[in-house]
Amino acid sequence: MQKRTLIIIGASALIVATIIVTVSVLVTRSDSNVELTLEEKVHQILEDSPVIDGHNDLPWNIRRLAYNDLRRVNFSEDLTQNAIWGKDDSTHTDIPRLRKGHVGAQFWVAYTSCTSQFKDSVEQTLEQIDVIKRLVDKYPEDLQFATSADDIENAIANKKIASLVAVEGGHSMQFSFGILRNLYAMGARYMTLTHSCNTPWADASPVDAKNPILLPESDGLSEYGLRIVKEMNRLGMMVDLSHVSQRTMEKALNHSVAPVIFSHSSARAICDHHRNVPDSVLEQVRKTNSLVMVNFYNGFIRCDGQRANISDVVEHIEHIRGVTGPDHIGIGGDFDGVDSVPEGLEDVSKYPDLIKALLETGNWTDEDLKKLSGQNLIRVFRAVEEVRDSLKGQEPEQDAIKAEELEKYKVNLTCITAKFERLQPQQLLKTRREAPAELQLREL
Amino acid sequence: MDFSVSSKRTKIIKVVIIIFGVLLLFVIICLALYISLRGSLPPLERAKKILAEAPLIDGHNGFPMSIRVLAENNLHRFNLSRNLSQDHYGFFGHRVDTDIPRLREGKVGAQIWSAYADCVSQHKDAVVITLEQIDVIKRMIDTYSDDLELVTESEGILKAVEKGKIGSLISIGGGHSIQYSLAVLRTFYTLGARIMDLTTLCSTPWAQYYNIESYNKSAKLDFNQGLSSFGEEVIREMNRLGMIIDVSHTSLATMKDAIQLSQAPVIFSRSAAKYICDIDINVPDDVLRLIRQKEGLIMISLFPDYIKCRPNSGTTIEDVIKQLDHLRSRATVNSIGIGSSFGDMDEHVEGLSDVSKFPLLFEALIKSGNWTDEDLEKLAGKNFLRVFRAVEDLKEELESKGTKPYQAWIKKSELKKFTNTSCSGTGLQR
Repeated sequence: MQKRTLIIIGASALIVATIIVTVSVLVTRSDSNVELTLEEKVHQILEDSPVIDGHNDLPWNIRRLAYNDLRRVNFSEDLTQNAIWGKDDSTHTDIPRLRKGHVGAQFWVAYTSCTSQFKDSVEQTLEQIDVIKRLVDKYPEDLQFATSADDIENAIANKKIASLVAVEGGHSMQFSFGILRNLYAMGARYMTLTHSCNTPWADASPVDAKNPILLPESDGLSEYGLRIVKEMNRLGMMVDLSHVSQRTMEKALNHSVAPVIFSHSSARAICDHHRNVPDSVLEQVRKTNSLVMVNFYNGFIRCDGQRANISDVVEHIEHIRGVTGPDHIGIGGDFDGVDSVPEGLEDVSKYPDLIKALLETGNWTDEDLKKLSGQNLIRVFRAVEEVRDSLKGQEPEQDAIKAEELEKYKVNLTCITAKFERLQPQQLLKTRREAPAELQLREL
Repeated sequence: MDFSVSSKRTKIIKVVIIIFGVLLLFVIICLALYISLRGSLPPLERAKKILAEAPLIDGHNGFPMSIRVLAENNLHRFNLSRNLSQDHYGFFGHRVDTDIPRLREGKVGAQIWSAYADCVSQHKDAVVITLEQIDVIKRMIDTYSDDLELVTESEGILKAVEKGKIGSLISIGGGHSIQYSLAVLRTFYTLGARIMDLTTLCSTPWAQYYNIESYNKSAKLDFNQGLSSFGEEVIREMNRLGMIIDVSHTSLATMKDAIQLSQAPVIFSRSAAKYICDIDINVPDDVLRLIRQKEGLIMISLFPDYIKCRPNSGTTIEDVIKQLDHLRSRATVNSIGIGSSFGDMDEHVEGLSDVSKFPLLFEALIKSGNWTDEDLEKLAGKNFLRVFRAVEDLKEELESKGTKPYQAWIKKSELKKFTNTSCSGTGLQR
């Protein structure tokens, strides 16, 4: 009898002990402090907040290498193996690599070169917007057209890469508000005020070069340029200050009532290049809820001619954060628009490696990294949309640029047949509802 | 028991038949009264009634060009809600025949506004100017949103009319506006344009304009067909997009090519019969026959020089009716419409001096005795709606077949003699 009791007690104890051990092991396993590998952490961060990249010039490569004929190249393939695209210095993008890179949204750039200014820049810009739309249409399982912050989130929820249109250079609007409005209607959601040439209303960054070959003509932004910023605010088109001169940056930041962006610029304090953003301007970025999206181009990351690597890019990002805090940085790699990128960031599949490198510094929380990868852009984009909504009653800009202004900038009118008014005193109707009884005859 | 039930039933049946008979008689009497009353309305009232039931869709108004030339596209400089021919609006004066009060008086249900760039801009800033004109049309519609509503599909026209607004469509005033780029054509469609005139006052590198027949032999292009191979791409793309092809002002070869190649009906937005007035811009009988066969549409222009070849004598409403009678006899009543060309004309048919006068035209047609109400409804707008719907149906059909847009570049050989290359082709490929 005692033996049986002992056996029973022993067995019960064994069972209870097993239960306790099992439960405690399970509890410790499910503890949230369990160590994920670094890769897993990066993956989780980018799953929650995929990369929203501010600037990719793939459309220009499509024009250059495929004559905008999408039948000539298959973006669902790994293009490093492609006879033409694989051999080119400036190609970094295809769909498999975008997916590997955890890209959730991309601003595709409808770029035309400065040589087209006052000639066929508008037409070419329309062709580039058209190729972006056809690209998205051709790969509906991977790309989804987007024109708002909501659209971006919607695409990401559908596991597609939100695809937006960007215009790079005020020369694409031929100083015409009608063109600007039509670009917005075609889906463009930011416009870089200049590329590397001055427009008759804004100065480009080469005026800030060490030995400038370009001189400022608009003191940053002329009166007309300020009106363009105003119209962009009204439309809800983000003002992009990459490529503009410092004075242009300052004036635009002062004047715009909506936050602005730098779609692909890095830190001047680290690499003193006119394409990068000076600290004083970074201050204004912080104060205006604006955004700097870091550019990976080797020549903007390192000014000493050496090949850059990921840690150099990390230095730029950390410096910007040091001035603006974590709410005003994003990523605008400039892939497909440059011929030299840092080691470790060879193409659009490498964003996770950048996030990993930032994690490794120990200075970045998961939240900070999600802001960097995409949440800051969403916030700024929404703020721009809110400004647009608040400006509902504002009248569209209608007064075109004056003839005197074009003369002052020595605009070559060979390819321009449109007529421009001269400045002259005249009686104008104040509003259409307040027509005076007599209207002075205008000179036509 | 059986007997009484069946007699009750018979009674009920009899009553029902009587009630039904009375109602039927009542309806017949009402209908007869209505028809006779309507028939006995004075012609002008009858005309207005017809236009109230079948809204007038006018194929072409060039007012946006007047806004550009006279007001620099600045809508603050005039008030479209006022009659712009009144004296105190001196700077528009008598030159403008279009404004909202007069459109209302003219019973215009829908207006096609032309976004036009002057031919001098071809190969230069035609695209820019056309975009600006599209923008000014849209701003005009927004500014006067109580009276105008943008329409981009056939259903939209009647919807606008129901809301008491004038449906406003955008047409592109000439093929040179696309600067031989299908991407630009697609852009115009996305921006809301639903019609494009292949040529107006100049040929393009891919289509010939009317004056090619006799005027300027040196401008004759190398290709023998009316449309070059790029021109054929344009037709195909317009079919795919659902854009109405307009061949007013094209050469005979071009109009025939377009009508035959297009899978959807083609229109003349503002033309007249060559049989009556033998000028290059007008349409010969064999082409009218093609329109009939292909169920297209010829919309009569109210520009005096097309209606009646004249020096010296004025053009009257009677002359317009003569044209319409001829067009109807050749193209049938199902393929005619009205494309006034008001808006930037400097001469007018006597009695049809502005957009308020359309009912007078219909009044005259009624008086002529040759036009039934149904005919007039078709002329006013039902034919246009039919064509617009057919164009949309084709678009749907092509979409369901998986037809996709692509980049077609015009060949250098097509551009050869034609282009001032210093203004375009700065991109890598042209």
